[in-house]
Amino acid sequence: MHAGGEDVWTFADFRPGHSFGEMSLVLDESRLEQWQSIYGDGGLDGGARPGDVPRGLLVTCMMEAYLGLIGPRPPGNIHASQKIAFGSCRPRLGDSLSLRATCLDKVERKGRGWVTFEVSVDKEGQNLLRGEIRTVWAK
Amino acid sequence: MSIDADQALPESLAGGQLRTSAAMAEQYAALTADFNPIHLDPDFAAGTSFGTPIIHGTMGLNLLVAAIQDTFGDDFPELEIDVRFIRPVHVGATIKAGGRLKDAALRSYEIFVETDTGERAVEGTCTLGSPSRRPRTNNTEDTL
Repeated sequence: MHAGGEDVWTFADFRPGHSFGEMSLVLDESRLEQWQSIYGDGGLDGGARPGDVPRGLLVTCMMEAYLGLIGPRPPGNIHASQKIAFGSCRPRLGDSLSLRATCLDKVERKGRGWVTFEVSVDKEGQNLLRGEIRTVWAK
Repeated sequence: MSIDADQALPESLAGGQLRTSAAMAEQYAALTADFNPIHLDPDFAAGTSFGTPIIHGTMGLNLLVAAIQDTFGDDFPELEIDVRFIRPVHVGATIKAGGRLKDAALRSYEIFVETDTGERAVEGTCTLGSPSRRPRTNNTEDTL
């Protein structure tokens, strides 16, 4: 929740280094079934072991944390670019994930406010994914 | 499909394809908790510059992530992706993910998502980390 209450986050509010907090998610059967309803067995390569899940599920968790931790938000933000670094540990069904969001940077260019957020996805202290979401913030 | 880590890198990624739909946009919204009406509500979208609902940008990105994983499996456990979302994709369009080897020494690929009309919606690079030392096996049991 925005420290100021129900007001939406504005470009002026962001401070590089600020943490938006942490949330937890579980890579459960339901989440995997939702993935498979869209992508089928995409991301479940032939070398996958029982219990392995597609790495793309971590990307969906990253987005859920980005939207869940940084709010309320103004309408009209643009997700302009995305960096993702996957760690060497493969996600498994039933993993409990810790997700944290931080403001990395903000810059104003040509009248638009660009904000870069970092979302990290960890499992028991191991980093599974680090994402940088670069957004044109609408307000 | 995947490759052995000591083999030459393939020139292209195993492609993936999705025919998007309103139902699929609803499913992806549920998966990401992203219920922005621009993806889901035709009446709302009609009042925007897009005119009709557009898919979530990461829906296409995840088609790429799946294509990369389907190509390499666990041969390169660490992986970096850097993409721009350059064009909206209207719900109902078919999208395809692909990639071409850009620099074998750096293990980097040019990656993209394009519509069935050939317009790119997402583009960028993917860089594979060091090859896995884990021997490839058909044993499906967990090992210590």
